[in-house]
Amino acid sequence: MSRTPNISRQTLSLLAALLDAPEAWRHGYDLSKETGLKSGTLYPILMRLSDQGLLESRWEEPEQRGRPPRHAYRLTPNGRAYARERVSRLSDAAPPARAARAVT
Amino acid sequence: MTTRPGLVRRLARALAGHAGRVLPPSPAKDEWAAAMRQETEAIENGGASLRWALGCVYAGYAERIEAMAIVDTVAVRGLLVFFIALQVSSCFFATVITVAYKTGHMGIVRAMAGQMPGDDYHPVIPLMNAIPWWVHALWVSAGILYLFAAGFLFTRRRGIAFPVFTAGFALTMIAKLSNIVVIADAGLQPVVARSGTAIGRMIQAIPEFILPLAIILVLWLMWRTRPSTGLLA
Repeated sequence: MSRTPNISRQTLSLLAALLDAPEAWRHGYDLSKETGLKSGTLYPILMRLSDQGLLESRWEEPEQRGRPPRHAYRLTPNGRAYARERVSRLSDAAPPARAARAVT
Repeated sequence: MTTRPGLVRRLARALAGHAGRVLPPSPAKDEWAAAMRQETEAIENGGASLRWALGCVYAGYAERIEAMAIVDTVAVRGLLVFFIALQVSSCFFATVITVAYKTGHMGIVRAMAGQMPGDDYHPVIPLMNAIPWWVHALWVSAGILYLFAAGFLFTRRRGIAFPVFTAGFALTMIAKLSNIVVIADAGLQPVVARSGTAIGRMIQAIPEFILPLAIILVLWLMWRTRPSTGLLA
């Protein structure tokens, strides 16, 4: 019988943010502002999700000339399924107010 | 007027570059290093860019330490359990000797007096009479939390060991402060116990809060380390 690995509040928060617009490519800084995660927490989670095939990334050319290209992220189909399962499990397990707090 | 933002920007750039270099070797290292650099560059506000870069440095070192996997070896865990055991004995000492004295088990009292100045327990009799039960309860509770932390560490439940040990340390600090207040109120002088072993005396020479803080740091490093198959970020 396999046990689902534990998942941190920070990872859950990031998954929920990525799941809000699953088709959109998101930049690290925007995700940080939305989730409140600092880059020191965000990057290790992004790396872990990417290593596990739950997150895909690409380089995006800047909209303004002279700006650098940026790394953008979104969940893979597997990542979306995983995120939906984890976020819904949290909603089932906790009252709405607590569930909302847990991912913000 | 433009000098300061320039300096901040250059510092942020240098830090982000450093963060990328300290990432552990992996097929994706270069890409993540570039992602950190470019994102730092893309943030228009200089201060925000610097904070972002500092976070990247933290992430880089955290990833490097985790890849080294030095904190969760049998040797480190064994050493931690040993140090935690020292904390436990220190927490229980006053209560055990007081209970032994008040219940007339003088053999135990004399044996424990070996850790006191002059191997004499008489100077601590006024202290044993002055310290109330609730201070002993604090010490014993802290000792029990330390014991649980050691047990969790032994059984590799490091996620629990860290908060339990930290709670024990917080209780220890409250107990120490209470001791100081109670002893001062009673107009007494504290008696400092000394270890009977050479290694114990060496450890005692370290300021007493350094060792538990070092244990907390290592437990925290273990706690934040994620298994490769899990998502314990």
